[in-house]
Amino acid sequence: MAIIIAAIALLLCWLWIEITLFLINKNSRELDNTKKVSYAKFIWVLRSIIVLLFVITTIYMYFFENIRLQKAIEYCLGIIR
Amino acid sequence: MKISIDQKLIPIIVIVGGGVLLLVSFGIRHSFGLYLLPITNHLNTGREVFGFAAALQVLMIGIGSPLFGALSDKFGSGKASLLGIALVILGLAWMANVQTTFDIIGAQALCGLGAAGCGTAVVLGAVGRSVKVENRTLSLGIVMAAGSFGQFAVVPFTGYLIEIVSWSQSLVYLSFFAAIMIIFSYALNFSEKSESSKAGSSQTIKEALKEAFQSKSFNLLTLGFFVCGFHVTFVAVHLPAFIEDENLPFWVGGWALALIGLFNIVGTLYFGYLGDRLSKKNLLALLYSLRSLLFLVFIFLPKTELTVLLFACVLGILWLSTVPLTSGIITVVFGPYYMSMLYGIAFFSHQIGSFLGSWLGGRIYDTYGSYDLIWWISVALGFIAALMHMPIKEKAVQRFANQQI
Repeated sequence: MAIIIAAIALLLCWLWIEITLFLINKNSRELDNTKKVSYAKFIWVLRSIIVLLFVITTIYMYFFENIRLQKAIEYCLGIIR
Repeated sequence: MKISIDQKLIPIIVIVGGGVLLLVSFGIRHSFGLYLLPITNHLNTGREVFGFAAALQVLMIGIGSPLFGALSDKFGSGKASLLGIALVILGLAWMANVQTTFDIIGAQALCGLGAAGCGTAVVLGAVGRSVKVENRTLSLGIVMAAGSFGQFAVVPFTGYLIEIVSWSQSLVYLSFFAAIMIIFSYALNFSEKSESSKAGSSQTIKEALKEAFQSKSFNLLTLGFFVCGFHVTFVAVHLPAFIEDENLPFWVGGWALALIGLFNIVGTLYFGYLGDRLSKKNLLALLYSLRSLLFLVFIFLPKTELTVLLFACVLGILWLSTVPLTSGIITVVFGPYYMSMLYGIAFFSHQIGSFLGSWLGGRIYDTYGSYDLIWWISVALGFIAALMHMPIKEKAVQRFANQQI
């Protein structure tokens, strides 16, 4: 259940990223973008990163103790209880 | 020994070197929380001592950033970062041998100062000098994303290290790990060899500081960055407790933090990419407004598993995305030559915001028994920051514009 809800949240947020990037790319075509990183290249790199990170996180959450990851991330964010 | 290198390779070398530097230094710095319990038990003191040392470390990063930034601009990013790495290694060695409360406070202060030397001000300055203007903000976003990844990759690794060997021994290993940065700091030296690094080199530090402080845009940008620090640290420190208070299932806290971390990496790249295509100051205004709207929605929305995780995803996107945009504006307005120092000054303001966000959050909760007031303060500050970014002029100052012609 946890993974399904997390995946829904991730997909909804990802949809927003896809739409905004698509619209911005469409509207900025007339500008000189030849020296810039292409939209197609960037979006595929971003998609790969998000899929990879989500898979790693899910595996970690599923196979290891949730509390351990939570504690580790809390430390990452500078939380000292 | 002089090494001649193809100009096209310089940005890649500096981005890789800077990325690894931020990955390691962010990772080590954020691992310190893991030592709270073992060192507190070893010293037989309360948690306040370690808490104070950690707070001092954060403050030292803020104080050290403009100083190391100036050193970097004057003597080179490679040399400045090397000094920072040496301080981090010394700090870690000191921390591995703590015997008194003074030791832990001194070691953390040293680590903080060193972390400023191999942190964002020096690295972003080197990257800003090396890359061409077309992909500058994205490049700044890439190195920041590497730093964000470091936070989430190194910390669990350090946790295991403490379990396998003792906490003291793990700090020794961590200092070896920090030594990896020495190799990569060399890559930052190439930033001085790039063509774009020469712009603005005729100016002295004093003149650069005077120019920046007289600029309304720089002052507004620095004030806006204060709000970023306030938001990020308040949420980071108090969100887990807030989620616990809402009586949500246990797994929500873990997943919420994991999604913040995940989207933090994506968000930094996303805003870095957009910063090269749209107005950076408008993006910053949008970003701060979105944060406020997000907090506002979060206050009123019923707290379910899905809403909390959605909040975490969006918050992750907006988390450190301000960094490539803020540093990008500084480079556009003042040129890349003194970028490290000027970004360091803005970052100092960010750290003061961080301190206040963390402290006020706890203070208000203790006084009123809820986080409501601090959420509202965060909403107001976000909108104020958005408004402050509107008058920023995202164009080169006269001196730099003349040099570009």
